Amino acid sequence: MLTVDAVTVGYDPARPVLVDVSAMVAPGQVLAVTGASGAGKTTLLHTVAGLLRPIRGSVTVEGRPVSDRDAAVASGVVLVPQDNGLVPVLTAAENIQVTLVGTGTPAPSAHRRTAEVLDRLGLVGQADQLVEELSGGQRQRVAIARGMALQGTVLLADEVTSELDAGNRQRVLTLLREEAGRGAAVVFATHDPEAAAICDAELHLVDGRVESTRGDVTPARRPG
Amino acid sequence: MLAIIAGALRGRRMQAIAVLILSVLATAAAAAAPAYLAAADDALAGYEFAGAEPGERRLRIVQLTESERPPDEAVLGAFRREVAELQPDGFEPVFSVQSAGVTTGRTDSVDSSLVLREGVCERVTVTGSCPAPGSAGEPPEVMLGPHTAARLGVGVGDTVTFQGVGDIEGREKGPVVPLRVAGVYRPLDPADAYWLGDEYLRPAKPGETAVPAVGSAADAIFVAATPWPVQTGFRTRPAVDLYVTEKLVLTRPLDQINAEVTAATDEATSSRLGAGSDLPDLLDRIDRHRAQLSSGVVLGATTVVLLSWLVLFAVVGIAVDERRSEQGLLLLRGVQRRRLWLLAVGESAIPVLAAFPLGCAAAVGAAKLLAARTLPTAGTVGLDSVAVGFAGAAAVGALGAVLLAQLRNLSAPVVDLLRQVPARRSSWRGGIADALVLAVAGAALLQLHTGGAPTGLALVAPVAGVLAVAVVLSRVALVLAMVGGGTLLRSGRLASGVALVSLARQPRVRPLVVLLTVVLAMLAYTASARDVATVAYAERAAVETGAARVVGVDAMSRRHLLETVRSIDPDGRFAMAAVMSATPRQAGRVLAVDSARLAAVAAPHHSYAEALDDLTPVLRPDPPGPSVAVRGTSLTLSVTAASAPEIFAARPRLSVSVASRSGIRQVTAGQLVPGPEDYWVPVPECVSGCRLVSIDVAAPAGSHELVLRITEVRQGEGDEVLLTGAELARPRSWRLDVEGRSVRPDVTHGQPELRLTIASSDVSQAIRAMVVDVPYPVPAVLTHALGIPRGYGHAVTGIDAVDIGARVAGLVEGLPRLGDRGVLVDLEYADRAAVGGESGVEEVWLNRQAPADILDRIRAQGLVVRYDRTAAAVRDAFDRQGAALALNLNLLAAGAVVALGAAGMVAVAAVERRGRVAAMVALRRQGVPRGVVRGGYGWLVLVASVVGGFAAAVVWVVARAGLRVFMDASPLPLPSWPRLDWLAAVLASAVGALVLTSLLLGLALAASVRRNSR
Repeated sequence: MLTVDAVTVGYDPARPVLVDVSAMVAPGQVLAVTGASGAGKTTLLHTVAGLLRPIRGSVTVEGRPVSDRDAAVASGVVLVPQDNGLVPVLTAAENIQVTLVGTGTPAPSAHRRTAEVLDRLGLVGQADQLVEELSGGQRQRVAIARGMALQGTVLLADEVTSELDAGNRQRVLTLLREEAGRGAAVVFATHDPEAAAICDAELHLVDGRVESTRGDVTPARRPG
Repeated sequence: MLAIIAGALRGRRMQAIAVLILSVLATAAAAAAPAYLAAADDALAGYEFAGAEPGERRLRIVQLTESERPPDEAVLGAFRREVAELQPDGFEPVFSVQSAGVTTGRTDSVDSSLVLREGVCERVTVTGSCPAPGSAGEPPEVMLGPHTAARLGVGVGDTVTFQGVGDIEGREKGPVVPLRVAGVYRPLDPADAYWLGDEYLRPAKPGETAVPAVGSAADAIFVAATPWPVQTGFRTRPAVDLYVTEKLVLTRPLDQINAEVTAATDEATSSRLGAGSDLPDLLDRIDRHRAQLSSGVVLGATTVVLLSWLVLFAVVGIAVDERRSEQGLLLLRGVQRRRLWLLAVGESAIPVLAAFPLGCAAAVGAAKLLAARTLPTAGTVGLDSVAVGFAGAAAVGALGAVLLAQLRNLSAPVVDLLRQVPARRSSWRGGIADALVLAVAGAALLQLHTGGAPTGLALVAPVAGVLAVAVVLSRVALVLAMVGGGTLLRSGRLASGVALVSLARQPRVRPLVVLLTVVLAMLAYTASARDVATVAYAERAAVETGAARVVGVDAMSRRHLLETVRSIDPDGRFAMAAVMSATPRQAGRVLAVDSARLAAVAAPHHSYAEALDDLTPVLRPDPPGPSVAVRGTSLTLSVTAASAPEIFAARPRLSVSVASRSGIRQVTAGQLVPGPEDYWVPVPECVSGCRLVSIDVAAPAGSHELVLRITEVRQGEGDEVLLTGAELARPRSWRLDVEGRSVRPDVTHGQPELRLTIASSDVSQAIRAMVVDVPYPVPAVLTHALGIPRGYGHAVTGIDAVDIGARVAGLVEGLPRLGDRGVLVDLEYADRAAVGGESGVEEVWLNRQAPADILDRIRAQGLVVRYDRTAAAVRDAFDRQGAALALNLNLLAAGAVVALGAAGMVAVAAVERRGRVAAMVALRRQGVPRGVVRGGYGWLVLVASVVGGFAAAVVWVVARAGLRVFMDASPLPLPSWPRLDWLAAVLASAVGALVLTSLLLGLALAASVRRNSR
């Protein structure tokens, strides 16, 4: 269970980017975080990923606080960033495999799992190509493949369908759903209403504040 | 456009600063080289000038014919006018006249010369006064040396007499002329060229007790300018010494001075004057020093300049790659490539132009610093047109390197520019550049191996070779890094794997690999060269000197030398007598040593092959018989001569040769007469003991044989029998030497006598019946290079300059003093085999245990010290030659390029930092541990170290032929390889510096990644 509890985040405490945002994503659930550009979607995902430390509030995964990125990784929080976060000098397969081995997967298993996810995302032919030799959509799919290969408890996908054609967009959404089906709590930042519509719940941000929600999103507030 | 360029400079400040700094470095190195060379030229010339032999610093012109006319103003004036017409500009003349004779005082007489020499009073301290022109009726004034005054028993104010040697026909000696001693002089600086070695301060004769260190009783007796003290019975010839000044050598081209000296010599000859000078030798030495230093500096400066360009190329290339997409976007928006080129040129030219004056200023500073640290004397450092020209060329090269680095991106298709990582396909431009580097290196190495002294491209053969090897091997290394990195990644070793593939997949990293490879390889090469030179200097100094210290002496005889040294060092711990023949080196010089002391005294060297101890029994086997010791003032030989009357009419003569402490002397016993006769031979030198060398017969030409039957030899006034007939009859006690050929004749016919049968001959013959008190042929140890097998006979020039037979008793690779060509014999045996007097160079060899007052001890025994040489001083002299300075400078340059390599790493790290941090942050954000994303440059240093080591070894093997360590040919081969401990220490410090740089860069990168990963 991912719990975001009254989180306020900002680079300048006087001008927070997110204000008092709360959300709860259960395993198997897909939460869409929507909003216009600059609404705070990426900031929220980075906070959940441990990249940003909240000024107030907390983020927990299965009750364990996410204090920084290492704690988040230890809790199984996987991030598919908006810029894909791929290393340009590595191939598609190496990007996935390095991450897997780096997070503790034995090399043979990492090798096998890399092949599987690339296959699932239709990237077998691009496995040995440098990231820079891939199209934008292919890179986005590689980043998603890496996120899926990590098999985390929480999958944070930041605008991962923005550069995809319709077919691949649908494939990715299906895969996100499959991740949730595996038991992961999936948080999917998007400004695409259609994509958001097929998610289990939705948190709509406007200027860093929760404007509206759909579905079971808000955690029960602790007394006091 | 200017505004855009200004904006680009502001926006890419770090790149502009990097270009500025590296251009300053390149221009500074390029300008510093000629600036340093100009200073070094002066310093080397000054150093050589200061150490030149007196004869090398002057041109002497003399009147060919001697004159009996007193050298008055008219005579000297005419000579001065003749000299003035042919005197080269700038030379300082010192006129002199001298006349030989005998000077007599209260207690003794000395053979010495009256000398008139300009400027003497300024170069001496005088007790009394300098001689002044005397007044009528007063004896002329003279000035004596202290040893002369002591010998003559006179002081200031006393009177001595002088008698000239006679007129030109030598008819009669001159009148005895009284002279008043006005002063007793001591030279301020006996080493001053003014004294011309021992021309005026003459060395003492050996054999005297307490030989003075400088001068002797035969020193010049100086007179006043006019009038000449003697009017008849003398001979003089005016002379002038035209001294070349240091200023002249420093300021005038050497070939011009040489030409002027040659012209003056030719003119003097055609004017019936004599002229001679060793000045050309000095000029030649200076010229060779300068040439060697110049060629060495070219290598060092070229290395720094080339690597500065390479760093610029690498840094700018990576910086441009980092903004490829920006250029792509500009082109996409319709900006013309021409304008992009203008921007690139403008952006680079401004820092390069700014670097030019800064580089020139830095060059002066660097050259001053180098000159102060490396040159034997301080030189004047300044910028001349040559230095400015070199700086300009380096600046243009820097601009070229910057533009070349941008060429690929400025001419790339837009689609390629929009990629973040350059395509993996290889560039044809890179291939052409590699081929060019290989071609230049090949040409340089070819020139090096086919030419004589390295010139032109061959001068930079090492750096060209290293660059070529680095270019080729960097490609191989990057391919291996790619394969290895991939394998490591697949096997789960992420840190190494990521680092290696990052290295391999960044084409712009390759220049950095090449740079670090060249840096380390050049350091290894120059350090090797310096070390080989250090070892070679020490070895050559040790071998050519022979011992730690060698004192050249004049002795009365070889026996005098041997006995003196043995008395100074009875146990043979630190001193050894030696005599070196005057034979040219190619013919195999002969060194005679007191062989029992050789191992204790000679400096060891591995080329001697055997332990020197082992040579003693080889050189000194037991003699076949004892020497015949004579003690008495005369010898009497009972001889019966038989031959035809015509032979006796031609006056055959009988002589005896004896060797005493004062030398070998052949004493005539008289003309041989028919029948039995006693021949009396006066040998006063044998009263205290001497050795019978031979009984000699001078037989005239004729058609009849001459038979001599020597039945007894007696000695002294009491006619004590020295050799009985039976002793004379022993055939093994005698050997016949006929006109230098040694034969073993049938000397006896069963009678108690030595019977010499001299066959008839068309020419007169000199026959010596020599006492066999030494193995003959004399056992000798030869070097292999002479090509004579062991056991063979070999005629060598003996220490008396007369050929003797030698038997090859041992063969070695090298010998002390002689190097790889020479013959070693025992001095005592060589002396016994000799028939002539002194020849060759007499020396006392000393090891480090010799006492501090050894020279006093030597002089006290009557040996005259001619020179005192140490192996350390010889080694130091090698170390101050132009070649050594060049090697030092190259090592300094190699050290500087290590700093350049580190600077290159920092610069590259700065310009590629953003991309590298982004990649590392991306991995961290995916949970990859910190240890995996170190991202430093350690692998780069490792790859460069391995490739650099290999490149250095390859280039050392192919380019060491061009290594110039000495100004002349060395008798020893250079060591093939440097000492590994030294090389390892130098390389370890350089690699350590690069590793430290890599660590610091890694730490900075890790901090940046940490900050951005939160």
